[in-house]
Amino acid sequence: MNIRNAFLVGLLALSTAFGAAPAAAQAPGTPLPPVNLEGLAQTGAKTYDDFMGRAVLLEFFAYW
Amino acid sequence: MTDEGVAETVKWVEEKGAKYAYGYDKGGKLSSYFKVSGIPAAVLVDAKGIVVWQGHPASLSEALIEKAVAGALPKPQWEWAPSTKAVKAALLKRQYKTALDECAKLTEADSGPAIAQAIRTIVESRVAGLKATYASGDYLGTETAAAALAKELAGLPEKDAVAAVQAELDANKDAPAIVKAQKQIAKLRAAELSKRKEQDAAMEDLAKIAKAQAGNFAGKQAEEFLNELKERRRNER
Repeated sequence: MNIRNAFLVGLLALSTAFGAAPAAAQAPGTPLPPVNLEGLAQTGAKTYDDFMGRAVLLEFFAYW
Repeated sequence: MTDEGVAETVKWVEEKGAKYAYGYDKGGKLSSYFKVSGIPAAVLVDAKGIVVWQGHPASLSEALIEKAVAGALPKPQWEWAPSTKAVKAALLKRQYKTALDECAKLTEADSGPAIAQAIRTIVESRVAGLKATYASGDYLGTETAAAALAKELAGLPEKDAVAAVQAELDANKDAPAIVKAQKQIAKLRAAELSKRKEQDAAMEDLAKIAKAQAGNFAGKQAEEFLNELKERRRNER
């Protein structure tokens, strides 16, 4: 598997309200809207747009 | 999240041993778009910029990843050849016509055709996204995205598709009232609402909007925010 083409982008979503009522997820097959991630680290990418043409796995995480 | 946590974040990432790129979803925009209500949560975006999967990271299959990376550029943008400088500059400004023109000057060894294909895919995906936004009834979102896209796609044939969506929106008799209500909701969302009195007023306004716009996108947005505020109230008690 050509895993080199996949990129992991961890998202620190501290402000997410956990425990809120779960709502329907976005339907697969829709284009990702423009993304603004700040302070990208551990990558050569300066903005999320730099991942253009690459598959990306976005993982949401938070810490307490 | 706020910037004040950066030092702790760096420490946390190091402790976790995470080697991959990370960034901050300021204001939780992305997590609210995906309605992330608990972690761990992940989203897989394919090389075309299409969301192909959302769920618990452990349930992500190898087959899905393989499908997502199909047709991906061999190198990420920051590793492209120096000759792609003008393409990158145009992409940064989201001037897709210029980016494609500059790509045409590149050789195959510098991935010119592959990059051009990736740019065309982005353009298609942006237009598809606009159409989906309109179809969902999010007319304010359509208005905003159409204005941005009209600039970004200047000089490209896809601009006509953007103009067509804009024309459809302009001809939609229901749209102005819905857009107005959506703007009202956005204004309430932007407000801090730290005082109880302000919250009460906002909840009253939202209830009115939810009633007047019942069954459409603005009504749904009003109801969602109203429920959030009610939830906040309950938690404060």
